[in-house]
Amino acid sequence: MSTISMQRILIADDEPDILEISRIALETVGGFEVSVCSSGKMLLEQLPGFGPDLIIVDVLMPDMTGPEVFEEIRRQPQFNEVPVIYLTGVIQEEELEDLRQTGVADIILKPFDPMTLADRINGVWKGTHGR
Amino acid sequence: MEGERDSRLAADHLEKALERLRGSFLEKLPARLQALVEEWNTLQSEGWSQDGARALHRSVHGLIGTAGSLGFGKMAKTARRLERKLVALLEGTQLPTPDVTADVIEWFERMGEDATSEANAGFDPSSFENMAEWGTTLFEARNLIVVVEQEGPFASELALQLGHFGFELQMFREIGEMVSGSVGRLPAAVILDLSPPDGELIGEEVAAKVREAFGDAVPLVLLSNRSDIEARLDAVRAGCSSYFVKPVNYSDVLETLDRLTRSEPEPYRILIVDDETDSAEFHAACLESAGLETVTVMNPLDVMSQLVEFQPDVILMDVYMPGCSGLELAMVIRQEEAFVGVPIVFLSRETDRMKQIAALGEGGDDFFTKPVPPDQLVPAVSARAQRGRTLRLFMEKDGLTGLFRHSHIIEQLEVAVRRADRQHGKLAVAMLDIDGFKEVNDEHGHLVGDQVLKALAYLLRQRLRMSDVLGRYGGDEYVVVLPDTDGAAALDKMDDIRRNFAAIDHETGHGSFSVTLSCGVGEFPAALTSHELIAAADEALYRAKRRGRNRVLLAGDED
Repeated sequence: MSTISMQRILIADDEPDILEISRIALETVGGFEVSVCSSGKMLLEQLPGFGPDLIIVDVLMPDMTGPEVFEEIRRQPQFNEVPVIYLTGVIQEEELEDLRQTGVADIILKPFDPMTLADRINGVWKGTHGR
Repeated sequence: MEGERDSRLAADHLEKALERLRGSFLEKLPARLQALVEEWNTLQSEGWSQDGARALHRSVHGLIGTAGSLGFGKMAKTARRLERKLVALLEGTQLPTPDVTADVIEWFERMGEDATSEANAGFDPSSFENMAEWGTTLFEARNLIVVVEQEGPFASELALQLGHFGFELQMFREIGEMVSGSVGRLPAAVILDLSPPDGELIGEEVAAKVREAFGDAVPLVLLSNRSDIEARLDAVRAGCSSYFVKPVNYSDVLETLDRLTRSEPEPYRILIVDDETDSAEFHAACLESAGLETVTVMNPLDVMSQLVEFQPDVILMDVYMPGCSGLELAMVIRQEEAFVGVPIVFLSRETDRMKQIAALGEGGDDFFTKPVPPDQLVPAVSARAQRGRTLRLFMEKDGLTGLFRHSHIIEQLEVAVRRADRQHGKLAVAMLDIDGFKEVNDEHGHLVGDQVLKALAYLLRQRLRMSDVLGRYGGDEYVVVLPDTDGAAALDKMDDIRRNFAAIDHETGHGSFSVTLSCGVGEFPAALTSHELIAAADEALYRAKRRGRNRVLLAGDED
C-alpha cells in the first residue's frame, strides 16, 4: 500500500521562516510537492485532503506539541504508516532520547542546512521503505 | 551529466531563494527584536509570570532555528545563549534581578548586531558545518569520551578516574557496536583500545568506522601493543591525534584529553597595512576565505591604534607607502615594548632579493613579492601567526599546567572587576592551595608532585566555564576568577571541585595516593578592587587551612 516514490510532504511549524525555508528547499532540490501549515491542528485538518507520503512536524508549537500531533496521526488507520519526522531546536541528549522513544522515523535538529535537507529526507524515506 | 546539471541548477535556485529570505529576515529583525524586548519589559513591570516567560523563551528558541538555518550562525549562537539565560530564569536557578534584566536586553541587542555584521561580511556556507556541535558545547555539557575496548580492565579504571575530572564516558566492546550504538551527541574524543589478532595494522579501517559514526571532526586516540615506527605511521596516516603504547599511564591519556577538549583557538588576526586598495582587498579576501580575521589600514599612521585595538598576530605591510615607508613603520612598531614580538611580513613589488633582505634587517620577519598567490600567502601567514601566538602564550601561561601566570591573571581580574563595576554585576575570586603539597614532593618526588599540579589544572578546566579565568598563582596555589557569580555560588562550585579532587587517585611507581585542597573565596563588591579580592580570598584560604584543611570558606564568614 505504500507508494513506490515519495512525492508529497506535509510540514507543520509555527515559525513562518522555517516553513518557507523547508518548503523551498524540498521543492527545488528535492522536487517534492510540499504543503505547509503553521500549527499541529492545521496539519491534522490538511491530512486527509493532502494525503502526504511523509510528515515533518515541529516539536515545540503553542497549540499541540509534535509528539501530540504524532500520536494523533498514529490513531488514524489510513495514515498510521506514514513516516513522521520531528523538527526540533532541542539539543539536550535526555530530551532527544525522550523524543526518539516516541517512535518517530527521524529527528532533524534546528538550525539545519537547507541545502542538504532534501537528501536527509530521502534518506529517511529509503530507510522506512527500502528492503 | 544531465542530472548533475539539474541538481546544480536546483542548488542555485535554492541559494537565490535563501538570499531573498535572508534579506526579508534581516529587514524584519529590528522590529521583531524590539517586540521581544518590550515583551520582556512588560514581564518586568507587571510582575514575573511563568507563562509570559515561557512565551518569550519560545520566541527566542524559534529565532535560533530560523537564524541558523538561514546561515546567521553567530546570531543563532547568541540567541542560544540568551535562551539559556531564560531557561535559568524559568527554572528558578536565576532570579530576575535588575542586573539580569539589563543583561537580557543587551543580549537581544547583540543578536541584531550579529545578524547585521554577518550580512555585511557576506554569507558563509561553512557556518552549517559545525551546527550540530555548537549546540551542545554552548550548553556546557560535560565532555563525552567514547572508549572502545576489546580486552583488559584499562577502560573501567580510566572511566572511574575520568569521571572525577568531569568527563562522561560511553564504553563499547566492539567498534561495530560503537557505530550502531552511539547516537546524537558528538564525543570530544574516541579512544580505541583494540588488539588485532596478529598485530596487523588496522588504523585506516577503524578510523573509517569512527568517521562513519561521528564524521571527520572527532579526534582519535589509539592505544596499541606495538611501538614500532610502522604502526605509528599507520596511525598518523589514518588521522589519529594521539598514539599510546600499552601499558598506558592514565595521566598521559588525561593530558591528551585535556588538550583535545580545550576550546577551539580563536582565528588568527592579521593586520594589513597597504595603501593600494586592490592588493589590500585581494590579500584580505585570500586570508579570510581561509578562516583568518583581517583588518586593513590604508593610512600607515593609523597602525598604532589598530595594534592596540585589534591585537594582530601578524602584520602584513606594504613597503612603499606615501607619508611613511613600511620599513620606518616597522621600526616604530618595534620601539613599543608590547609589540616587539608581533611578526611583520613585508609586501612589495620589489623583486631585488638584496633589497628584500635589507628590509628584513629593519624588524621584518619575511618578504613577499606582490601579488602573493593565495596558496603561498595563507600557509606563510598562518605559520607566522601560529608562532607569534605560541610565543605570546609562553609569556602568559605557565608551562607545567597551561594556566595563566600570576601577572596575566591579575590583569584579567582587573578587567573582570571593571566589568562587574560598570554593570553592577557579580564576581567572585577563589584561591586554592593543595594540602600538604610539600609532603607529596618529599615523599614521592617532584615528578609526582608535578602530576598532582597538572591534575588540578585539568580538573579546573573541565569543571569550570569558558568564561572563568584560571591561573596558577605560584607554587601549589591557584586562582580562579568567576564572573557573574556571587560568593555563595562560587563556594558551592569550589566545594564540588574540592570533593572531586579528593577522589582522584594519583599514580606513583608503587601504588597510588590522594590529596585534598583548601580554598578561600572572596566576592565583589564586598571586596572592591582586584587587590582586595585577592586579599579576601587569601584570608579565607588561610582560615580554611587553620580550621583543618580540606574545606572551602567564604571571606568574612565568621564560623
